[in-house]
Amino acid sequence: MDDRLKESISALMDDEANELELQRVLSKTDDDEVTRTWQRYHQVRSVLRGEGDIGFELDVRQSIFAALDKEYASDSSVEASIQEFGGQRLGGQELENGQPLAASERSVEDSSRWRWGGGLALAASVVFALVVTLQYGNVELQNVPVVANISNASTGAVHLDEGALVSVAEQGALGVTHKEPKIMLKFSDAHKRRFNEYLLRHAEQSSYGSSQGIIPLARVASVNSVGI
Amino acid sequence: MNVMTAAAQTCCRLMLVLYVALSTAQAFAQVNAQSADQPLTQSAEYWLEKMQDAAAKVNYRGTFVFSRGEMTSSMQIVHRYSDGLEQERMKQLDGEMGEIIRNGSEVICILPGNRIVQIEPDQFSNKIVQAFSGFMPDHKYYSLQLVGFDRLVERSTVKLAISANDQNRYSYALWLDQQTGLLLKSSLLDHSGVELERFHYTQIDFPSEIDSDELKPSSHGGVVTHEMIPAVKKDFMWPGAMDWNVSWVPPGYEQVKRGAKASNNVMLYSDGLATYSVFVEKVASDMMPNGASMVGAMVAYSLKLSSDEHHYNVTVVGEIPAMTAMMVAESVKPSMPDPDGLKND
Repeated sequence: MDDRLKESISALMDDEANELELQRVLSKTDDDEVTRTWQRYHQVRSVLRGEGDIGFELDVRQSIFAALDKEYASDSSVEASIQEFGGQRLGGQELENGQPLAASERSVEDSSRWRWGGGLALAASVVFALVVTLQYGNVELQNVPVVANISNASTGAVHLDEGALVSVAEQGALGVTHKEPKIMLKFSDAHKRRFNEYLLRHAEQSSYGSSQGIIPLARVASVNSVGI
Repeated sequence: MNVMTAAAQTCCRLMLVLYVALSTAQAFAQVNAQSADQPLTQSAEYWLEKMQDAAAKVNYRGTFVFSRGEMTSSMQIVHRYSDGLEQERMKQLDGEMGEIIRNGSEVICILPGNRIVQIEPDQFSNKIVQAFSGFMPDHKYYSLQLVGFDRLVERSTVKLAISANDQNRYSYALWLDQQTGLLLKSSLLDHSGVELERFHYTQIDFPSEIDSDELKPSSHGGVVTHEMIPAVKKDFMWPGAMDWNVSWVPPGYEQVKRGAKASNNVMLYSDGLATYSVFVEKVASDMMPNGASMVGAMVAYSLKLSSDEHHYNVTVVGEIPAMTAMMVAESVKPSMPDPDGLKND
């Protein structure tokens, strides 16, 4: 499946598909890979939006109809395609290690749309990571720490830093006993931008005259110069 | 086989041995002459001091690779020290082109799409100027060891092993250029020995002069947009006299002092190798979520705290373990110098 098609699916999902993109997707609805991709994007988006439970059922037709109602309500040829599409079965959910590890990249400049094509060019700007919250028994929810980790920014793959999780849990700095990791959040665009801004602020004041020379700035550049 | 041939062979062998011995001695003599003022018998501390000095005061131009996990990024660097001013230009060689230009303590990022991004200068604070001098890693907190010599990017280097003695800092392996002291390679390890990031030059030279043109950002023409990342803001609701007190400083770290005008809601700490910043600011809607966000060795630990009726956001950023950052963040409290003012606790 080519990147253009992926981008069209993404656009459709965000209610931003133009006619060409819509037709492109509809012409491929007999392709299992396309339906799986559609579903995976939904999983990713629901994680991104913090919509909680990932194991939801998708109603593809509804989204397609919504898109059509908006723009092509009277087009009968498209209607026919929808019927065909509606008959397709969706592929199984793709969960890795029980976690919705959907790796992807997102253009920062164009926040409403997911960019798949120039992904390599944006290698350093991977946007989201899984975020884990630790549930503490007696601690108010607002003080529950979140642990986020971009472990592999070049491919967009994301994984949980178990080490960090354990060390926070083991040392029990909050003086609590019960904790249980739970996937809850993402590195949102805003979160990522804030993170990069803090890195830059820290680098700016720590690079001048420090013993490590250019390393603080190299860190900023390597993490994500695009995402600031 | 005749006697003459055997004798000739022996003779040749002897000459060879002699030659090797002589040239070895010569090589040693050269090394000793070269390093008369910086013998290889110097301590790790000597080299660390030299490294710190070199980071600012050496002219160099090269390419390096920075990696963490499977992420690798190549960059080109030009660094100049002239008339007491440090300037450098770092250019990304992989992916879309990005550049970072540093002029003394001012940093400008040039991002794809002709975006020029920089941190808003904080009018209430003085820049840190050579503030790190005197900050050296202490034996109490790091085991410092000169472990050998190595050849990297055609340079003779000395290798240092610096291992953390507690869990408030990471460990390092450092390779320094013998001649200049410049850090040519480094590896940063967490307490279980996992490498969190690596940095090494693939090519370097040390020109005596660097042209100013080399330090200018590349221009691609077109419309340029300037963006300011705001300095961390105090809340105007906070009483004017309110100060911030970081009640827990991990052992071995000290605050890097700034000028008299220093804004008290931005602080910098160092143990001679690792540094972290503490930012205290007004609570805004787009704060990072409470907790640790980590990329490689970098952590940003954010926390919303309240004390009496004051709400504030603390963020600790640095190349320190997440636990340490968390404990620092949790120890930040407002303090009122006025005894009649609001009491804390």
